[in-house]
Amino acid sequence: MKKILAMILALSMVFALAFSAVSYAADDTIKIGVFEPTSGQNAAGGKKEILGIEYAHSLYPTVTIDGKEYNIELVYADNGSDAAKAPSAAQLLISKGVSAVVGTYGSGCAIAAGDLFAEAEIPAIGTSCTNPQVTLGNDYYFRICYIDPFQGAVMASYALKQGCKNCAVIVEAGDDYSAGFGTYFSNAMKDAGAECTTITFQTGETEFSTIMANVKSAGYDGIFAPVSIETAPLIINQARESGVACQIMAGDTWDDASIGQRAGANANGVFFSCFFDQTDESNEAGAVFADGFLKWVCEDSTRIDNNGGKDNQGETAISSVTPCGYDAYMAAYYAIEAAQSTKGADIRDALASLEATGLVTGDLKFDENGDAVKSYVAIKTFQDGEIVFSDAYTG
Amino acid sequence: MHSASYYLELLLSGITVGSLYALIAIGYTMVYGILRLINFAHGDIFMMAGFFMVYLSASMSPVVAIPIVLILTVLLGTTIERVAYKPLRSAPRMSVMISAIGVSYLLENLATYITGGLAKAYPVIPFLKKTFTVGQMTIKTITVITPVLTIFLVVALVSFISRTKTGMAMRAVSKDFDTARLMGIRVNDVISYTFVIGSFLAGVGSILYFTNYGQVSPLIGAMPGLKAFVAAVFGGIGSIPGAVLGAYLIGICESFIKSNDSIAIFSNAFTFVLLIVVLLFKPNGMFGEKDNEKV
Repeated sequence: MKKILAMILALSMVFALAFSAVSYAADDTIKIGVFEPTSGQNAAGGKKEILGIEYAHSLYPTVTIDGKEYNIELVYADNGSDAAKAPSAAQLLISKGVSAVVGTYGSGCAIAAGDLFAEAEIPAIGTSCTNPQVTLGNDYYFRICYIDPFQGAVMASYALKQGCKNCAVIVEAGDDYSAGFGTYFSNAMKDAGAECTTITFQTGETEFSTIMANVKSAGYDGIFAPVSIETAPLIINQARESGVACQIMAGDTWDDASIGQRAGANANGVFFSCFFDQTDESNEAGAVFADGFLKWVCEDSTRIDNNGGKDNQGETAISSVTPCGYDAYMAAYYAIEAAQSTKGADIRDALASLEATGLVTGDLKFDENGDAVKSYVAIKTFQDGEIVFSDAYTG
Repeated sequence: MHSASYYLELLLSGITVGSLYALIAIGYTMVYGILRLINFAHGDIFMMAGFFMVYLSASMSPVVAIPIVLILTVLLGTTIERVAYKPLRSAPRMSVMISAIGVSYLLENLATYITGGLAKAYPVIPFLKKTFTVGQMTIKTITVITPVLTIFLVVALVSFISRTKTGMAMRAVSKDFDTARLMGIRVNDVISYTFVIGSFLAGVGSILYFTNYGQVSPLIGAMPGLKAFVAAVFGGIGSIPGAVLGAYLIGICESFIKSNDSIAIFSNAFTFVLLIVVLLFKPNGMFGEKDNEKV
């Protein structure tokens, strides 16, 4: 009896898997894949980008192709913040028949999945993956945000302004974003005559007191740490607790309210670069987006959680990766409209020549590599656990 | 050249990490000593204890929550034993181990589901979070409390096992199930006690560990769990003082390896190479019981 039951269960599982793989799109539906981490160490970032994508979807749920209205359906795949899991997540999206893909947070996952999307002729639009390798040599990967050589140079110029001459660059081993960004920063610093030493740690590391002992002993006057949201408070807290008082800096990943909440006063004066600032009044599209998005987030408690929760004043902030998710969806939307087709190859061609205005992170046009031409960087800092705007860099 | 306080700082950091591995390693080594089972779910019990604290402290002060966290962790440990291991007592050892791996994944995925995969901030326990300065060094209270508390618990545990009746029963069960049963020992009760002690120590370890690092995430248990397991094997799995010694050795070595930029990347590799070397040359570990051939 038990054996038969087990057999039936096993068979039903096999069939369930088999059927889920061959579900075809209905005639009037076009699918857009959401390729983002919702687990692992970049889950917090992935969820914020998904919010931006979903908000854009809620505003533009349908697209007209050849006079016929198509419903846009979002198809999700979790790449687990892990370059080893990313290809199977990409494969899942491909097998579900998506016409285009938006995402991902984290360059490592984007690089790992890039070839699969190219082979399947499905265009992917990177949200906040800043490593140049994502789009280089891949005709099907585009990108909304600026890239690390640019961001590295901007951060290096700010580090020099703060008087840093001898920086410790703390990077995660094997992470394309962290190692790449760290190198571009170091190169820019060295070009300006300052010194940099790279210190690596392994994924999942929680104990940074030995690194901090090194920082103190070697007398570095700055720490540049392009690491994940989860690692950031560990580095900030352990630096301050072991008596390291020097300037701490990072990149776009640190634009996350939870870091401020966990590091509190220890994070005071830590600064980082990012894509968007909600208080910048010169950005009209940004202001409209900020208003609408915050109302939309506050409708639902899960959305508030995914957005990083509320701060001490009961307000929820907008991370700069959220507009990247929004803009990536809009780029896909405009490209489908311009291509008048649901075929990936047609949408790719439309993206390559796309010129869109009025997007949240500025006007959009892709260069020959598929990278958005961007020249705006917001510099933000933490103050008593909250993120405040500090400076803007424009071209 | 580095100053003396630099090396002292490295040593202190190593001792703290080693103490935390030790608290987890004891759970591995005791369960193995008695059941000959490598309880792969142990690192995840440690992780769950962290989440108990996160969710309990939302409605009460963390200091009040400490005993409740420990009770819940013990309950979780014994429930796992009852549900996933006890029914397999007469099954081949491999089945129980596979069941343990299943429980480990179940707990990890459950935590991922409940938290949505995000790390949660660990509540601040005021008296553990203070820092003070000695000379050039800034020392956290917790780096001092952790080893002291660990040594105290280990001494208490060793004397419990060598002095009390329950301890004697544990030793008997670890030698031979059937003979112990014939001597009137309730084997199932003894096994439950083992899980109570192991889970309790994992609970204490989790409070110290997460207070130090400030956040809990669903997969955090895996690495400390693995390292503690290596520590237990190094010391001779089944031996408590061996596990503690192994844990300190690994903690201190890691700390010094990580301080050197050119080899820092190999700190985890070192731990696992150590495991292989120990298994090759001293399969019973430094203090492990000798395999008596049974005729």
